[in-house]
Amino acid sequence: MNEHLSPEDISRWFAGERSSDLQRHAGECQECSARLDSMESALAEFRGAAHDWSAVQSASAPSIAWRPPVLHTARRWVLAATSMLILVSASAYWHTRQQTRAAEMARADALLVQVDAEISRAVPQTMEPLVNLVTWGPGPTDERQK
Amino acid sequence: MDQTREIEDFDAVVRLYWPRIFRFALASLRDRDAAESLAQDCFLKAYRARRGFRGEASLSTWLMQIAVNLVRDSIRNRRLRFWNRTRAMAPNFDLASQSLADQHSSPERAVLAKERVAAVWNVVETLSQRQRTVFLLRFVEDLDLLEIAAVTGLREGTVKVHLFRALEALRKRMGETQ
Repeated sequence: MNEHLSPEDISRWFAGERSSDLQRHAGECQECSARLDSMESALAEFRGAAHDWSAVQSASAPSIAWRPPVLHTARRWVLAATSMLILVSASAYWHTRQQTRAAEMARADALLVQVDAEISRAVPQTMEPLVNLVTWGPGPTDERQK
Repeated sequence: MDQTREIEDFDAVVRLYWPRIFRFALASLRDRDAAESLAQDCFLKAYRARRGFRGEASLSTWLMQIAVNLVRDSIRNRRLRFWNRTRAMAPNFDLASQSLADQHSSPERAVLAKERVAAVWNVVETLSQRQRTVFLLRFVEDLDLLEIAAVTGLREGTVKVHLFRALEALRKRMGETQ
């Protein structure tokens, strides 16, 4: 290879495809060697800068907040606990409501019994003392009917 | 260690591969918060899919595949608007490249090194998303063409075309600056 390296040769070199021809020419030709060195330095410095930058950014970043397993387990527990709480609360509420309803029903029944009792009186309650003074016997009409 | 056994200790996997995934995300998006978020997404996806990992590819390749897809989605959805942020992030990168400058013996050489790095970044900015991904995997993560093909899902020939175009852009740019 007597001619200088082509742009494609240079790309091939940095892509890692370094044939023996390329290597020989790079070793013999000062101009091409300088071109390769210049680009090699730039890429190495770029790599170094990117690594340094990443290290600096990573170091100044808060600690790694990667906790999905713990987070997921915790979430599951919270979900389970919340579900259990809702279930227990609903059950307690239903039970209390049933009791209240039963008590209301009992009060209503008692009231109805009382109303029935009062409605079924022969005379009003206020006249009951007078009724007690009278001896009830068969009247004239009753005699005639006989 | 057997790859399928390695993944069982997922905390160790995160510790081992986090720097690499974060670095690739940061170089691709040039936004620390976005890169951190993407790295977390990457490991979360990997964690959820870990039962399906059969060890056909290396764990590193598998994780990088997920990261590459996430980067592609991020850019496609334009959620991160990273090109707009690139300009805003430039001072940060300048700050980070300070360590590079410190490694050089003379101030002149340090300035030259910084200029060369800036020139490469400028070229990276102008690349298409695929070219950029291939370029970063090759020159930041040191993957060879076959590994890049495995990570990106592209054919080796396609990877080569993208890489050659990126290198051609870089070669032209360096020709201008020299």
